[in-house]
Amino acid sequence: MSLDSIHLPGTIILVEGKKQLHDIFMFAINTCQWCKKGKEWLKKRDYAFKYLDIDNINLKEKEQLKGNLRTVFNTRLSFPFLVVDKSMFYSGFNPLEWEAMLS
Amino acid sequence: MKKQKTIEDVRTYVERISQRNEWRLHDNHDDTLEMLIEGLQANFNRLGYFNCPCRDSQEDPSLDRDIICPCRYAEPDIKEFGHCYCALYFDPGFDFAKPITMIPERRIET
Repeated sequence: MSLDSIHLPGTIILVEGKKQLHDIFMFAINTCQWCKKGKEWLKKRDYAFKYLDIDNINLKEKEQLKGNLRTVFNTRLSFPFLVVDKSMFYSGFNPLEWEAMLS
Repeated sequence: MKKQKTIEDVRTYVERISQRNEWRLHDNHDDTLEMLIEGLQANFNRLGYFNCPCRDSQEDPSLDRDIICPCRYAEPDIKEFGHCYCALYFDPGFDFAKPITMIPERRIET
């Protein structure tokens, strides 16, 4: 179960930050207020992270990506979908759960 | 192609939905309401319908029917949690002094 086994289409955005202890990757929806809050939450705490707004990917590649994420992580998807160190994940914006994953 | 919606068009739409259902809109103390209105506008102008801004679209109104705003889950979510999945529509008695958190997804994934 690793993010490395998934092909990531589209444009990955890199956000710089001083905290680089973990590899943080967020699958987000550009129009989603929870995703925006999640990005802000990470930025405010100075975490370096990458994100991909999936609604900017063409439909075919996006559906493939979602299918791969469901298969690899054996979960249903909701957004923001946070993947920490390639294998830990959490569906949704939940500061307490995120903090625990990043501690 | 459908006529593009302005921010004001979308604001009027969500206000009307909110009034008709006896809900209220997010109080916008942190710009959440603006983010959601912009999200709905972007979705309408890209897809031709008000896909929920917090859920991914399959770019087909027949597949997204249940998540066109107001989504099919808004009413039970407002009853159970005080607000919809996106935190756009609220129970009129909701206490905005309390933190607003993301609620579980009621939709069964297709």
